[in-house]
Amino acid sequence: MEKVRDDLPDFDEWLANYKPPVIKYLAGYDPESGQVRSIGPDYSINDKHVIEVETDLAEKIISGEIKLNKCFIDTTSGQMEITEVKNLHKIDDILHRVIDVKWADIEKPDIFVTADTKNKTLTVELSEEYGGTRKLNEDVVKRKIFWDGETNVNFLITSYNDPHIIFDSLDTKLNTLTDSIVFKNVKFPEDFSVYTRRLFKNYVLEVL
Amino acid sequence: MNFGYLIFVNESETSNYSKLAYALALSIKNTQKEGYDKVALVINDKKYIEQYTSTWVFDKVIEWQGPEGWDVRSHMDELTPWEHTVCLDADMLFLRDYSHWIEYFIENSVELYIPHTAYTYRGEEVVNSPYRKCFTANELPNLYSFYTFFVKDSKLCKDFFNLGRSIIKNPTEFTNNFLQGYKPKILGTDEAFALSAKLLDIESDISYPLNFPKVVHLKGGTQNWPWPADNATDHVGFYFDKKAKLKIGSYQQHDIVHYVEKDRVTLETINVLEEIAWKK
Repeated sequence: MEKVRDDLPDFDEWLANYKPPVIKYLAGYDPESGQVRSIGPDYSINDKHVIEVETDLAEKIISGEIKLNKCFIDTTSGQMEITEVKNLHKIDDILHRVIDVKWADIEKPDIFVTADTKNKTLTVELSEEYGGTRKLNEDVVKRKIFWDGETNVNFLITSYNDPHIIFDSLDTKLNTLTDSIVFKNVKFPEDFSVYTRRLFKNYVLEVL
Repeated sequence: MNFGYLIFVNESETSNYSKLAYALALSIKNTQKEGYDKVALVINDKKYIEQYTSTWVFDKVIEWQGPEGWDVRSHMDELTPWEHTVCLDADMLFLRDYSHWIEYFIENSVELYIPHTAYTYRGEEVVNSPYRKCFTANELPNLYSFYTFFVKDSKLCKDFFNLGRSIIKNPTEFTNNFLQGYKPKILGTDEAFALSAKLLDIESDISYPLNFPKVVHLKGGTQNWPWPADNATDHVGFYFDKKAKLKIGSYQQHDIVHYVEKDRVTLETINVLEEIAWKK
């Protein structure tokens, strides 16, 4: 009969006291271009040039929510940057309806649009996560975004859920969104929707 | 006359078919004239519809623990509470009054009718559907069970549905014997009904040319596009307005829309339909 090892701890006691190791995530990158080439737990990255990445950001890249090819390292600051260059494949990316907060199931909006129909204004706020002014209800890790600030951001005021009938068209540049933008004298019909080009993932609308 | 629609829902904690059936029932109440707007729901557990505000849109709710999966619809003739029935898929919306279709079927003593044509959102007949290889390879009648009109207790219907159920219960035997040209991975209701019609030699009795019912089948591969598409709404917008009118792309929809993608109907859509129903 095989001898029972007496040098091992009691399994139940060991399991009760077990603390899983904290996973440290690393990004491996090309030192010349800054392009991120790999991301994962520290034991899995073989790149020579690496930096540590926050868990939240790493998990978003691993799950595909943020594309790896949009991630760059700013070699002077040592910070991860996400490019805003986005491939628009679906009609919903090209003409995205900003959903009313009443119906939206979005925990962390990236862009918050407020339509004040009485004062005829439309306010656009970028989440503080991306360096904007819109406070979120939880602590967020601010992300440095590397983007072309001259990119146009356009909002269409249309008939309710029908972008064929446009009442107003509002334009700004992406780099202006670090402050909240207020469009004035906006033409709102009684029932309306707001459509935009989808540069960010989550947009919500609040109608006052 | 005793006519009504019949919807089957085999719900689970992770699906949302009861929501789709509720939206369909609301759209029927909002658009069909009196006498042609009754809806019966067959559902595996009534608790799934209790969360909705206006469950009165279901004139009858039948709790039934049938076999798992899609084949529950093959029991439509046994479970319907109506003398004349149209059995529908849950993921459909009614957009105008179609009761004259029913009048035609009843006045002409039609016992069973299953359409053999589906339409794109542009109103064209669907051709070369990539989902219908089993039908073409095995020379099956191109039946779409999403709109099945039948008369309860008719001899023709009993023979047809009994054989359909046998096919669904014994897929391997029927596939090996009759679907050698192309074996489907899953023998669904459409395939079973088509094979049943072929074996009974009643294709021309139950699916002859008619200009109705017209159902827009919004699968990506059935839009006659020259490119492959998983989801139709990746390529064209789905715009459901406050009056419960629907545009797909720039095309106003007038016929029944079988939208397929379950997330097209949201709580916002339900709210629009409910408000219309409450004001009616």
